Amino acid sequence: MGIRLNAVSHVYTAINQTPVEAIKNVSLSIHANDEFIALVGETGSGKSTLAQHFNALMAPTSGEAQLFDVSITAETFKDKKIKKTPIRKRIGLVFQFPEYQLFEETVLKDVAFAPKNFGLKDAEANELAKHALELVGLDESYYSRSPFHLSGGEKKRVSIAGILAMEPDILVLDEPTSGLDPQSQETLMQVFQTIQEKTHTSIVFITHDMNWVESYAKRVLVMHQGELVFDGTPGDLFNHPELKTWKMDEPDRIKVLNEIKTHLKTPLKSLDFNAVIQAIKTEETS
Amino acid sequence: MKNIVIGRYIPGDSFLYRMDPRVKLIALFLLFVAVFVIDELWVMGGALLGILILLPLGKISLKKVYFGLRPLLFLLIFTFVFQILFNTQGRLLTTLRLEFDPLNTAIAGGLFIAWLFLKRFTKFTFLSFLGVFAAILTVLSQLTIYLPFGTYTIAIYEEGLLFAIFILLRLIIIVTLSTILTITTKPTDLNLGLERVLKPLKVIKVNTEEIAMIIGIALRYIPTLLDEANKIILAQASRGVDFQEGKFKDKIVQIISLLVPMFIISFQRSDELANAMEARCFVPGKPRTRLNQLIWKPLDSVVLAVTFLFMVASIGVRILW
Repeated sequence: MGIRLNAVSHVYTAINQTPVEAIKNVSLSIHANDEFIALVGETGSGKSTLAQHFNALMAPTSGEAQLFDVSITAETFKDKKIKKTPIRKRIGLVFQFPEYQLFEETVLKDVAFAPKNFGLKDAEANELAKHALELVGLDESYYSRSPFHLSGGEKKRVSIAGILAMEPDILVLDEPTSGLDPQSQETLMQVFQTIQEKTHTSIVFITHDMNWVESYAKRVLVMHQGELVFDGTPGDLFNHPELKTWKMDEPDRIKVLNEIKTHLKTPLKSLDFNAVIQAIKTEETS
Repeated sequence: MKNIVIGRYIPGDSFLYRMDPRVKLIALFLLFVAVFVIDELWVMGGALLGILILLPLGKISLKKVYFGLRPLLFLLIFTFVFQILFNTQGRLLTTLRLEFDPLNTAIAGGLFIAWLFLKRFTKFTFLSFLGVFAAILTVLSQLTIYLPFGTYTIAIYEEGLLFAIFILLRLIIIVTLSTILTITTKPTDLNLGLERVLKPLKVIKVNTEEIAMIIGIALRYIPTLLDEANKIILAQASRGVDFQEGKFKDKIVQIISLLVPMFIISFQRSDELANAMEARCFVPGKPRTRLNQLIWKPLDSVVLAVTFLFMVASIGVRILW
């Protein structure tokens, strides 16, 4: 078992002294292998806060986060004897904005920073860094460039490589595709899928785009006003009656199919392109 | 990181809150002058008493003022102790002869190290320090058995003690007055007040509006940058940086990994802000109206008159006494 949250709540005090519940009573478990999970929810629903509980950057104010063999509660989080860095090596979290982590002079050094922090020799760290950069599609010409002179998309890839280089068991990505052009988004999602298939690493990604949820995720978690309201397959989510109340939307494919369905006279057995094409053909001939 | 508070404004309601920030600044200045002019201990004591009466009238709890004083506690004690130790004027009051021998020095050192270890678990760090300090003095002066390798005599003179108390009172008054100002005035109001108070300097070509604008922006961005710093810490912690641990060499890398993104983000933010201001047609130095106008109330005139009288009185006492 990789991540298990038991009734985790996180309350913080807002500037006007009122307590705000960022996440309420969330229980879930994520396996260390073969998971491909999309974490969705409207802005301010607690997705990012939840993600930071996955690698012990935040502690639950009540409840317990079992991260591999370490239990994180409000008390154990403060205990300096319980090391959090080993957890963060096994559960890698990529933040949304690469600006918050890039600092070295060259791309290669920056990507090798994390493995070096976990005690690897320079040569080994550089090997891992090169491998990670190759995975995200940055070739040798980038190694000696300054991370600050890259485009937004390239920075994003460097920041993702910076976490991939630690070879985490579970990879958590906060909006990995934001700020990228559509082509790069697709490439990056495919990179994650390849990583997942090759290494069986579990991947959790936060997104607002239902198309990625539909085409890549095996499992979806929906956050709504701090609560985990749905945990299941994408197929079940898009048929869920409360989809709209959670401020979620259907992916483009289902929208198109539904639109065509309203123009067909014969009822459809299943909602996919083959069934629709079949129905259109039979209607044309009749 | 979250505990850093600069210009701690605490919302409330009393005449101190209702005063015009301009008046507060001028009154503070007048009172500072008065406090520096006073040279008699009993007048200084009276001034402190006056402030202690002012606090409940202005609905400011002593505790809040203490929090303002706390960062300066070390400085206050330092000046107090130094005045007592090195001012040798007036009548000799008492002496304390310290004799160092291996045993009692070891005990004193042990007490101090024990305090260093235990201070994490005790609530009143400062009080316990005073206790330990007194214990060390007792050990050093009473428990001399054999082979003293050095002696030191603490001599306390009347003048030294009185002057130490005088300096202490003066510092406490100054810090308390400024704490009252920052507690009762929003940073934005304070800034606006400062701009208006400095306005006469325009005659000598000092651009007071820009100075006020710079201070205002700096104040506005403190919480934002703290927030950014926090995010950077989390992002680097995600990459295995342990900000609580590490050797000296690691510490340097940790700090660099925090400072470089911090610098870059600050420059980005300032660039964005400059663009946003230009997009709204901000032209430096152009006359500008204010959303919140400062209104001079009768209260302000009274306060100004009273503080002015106080200053005049303290100068009078100094000259005539």
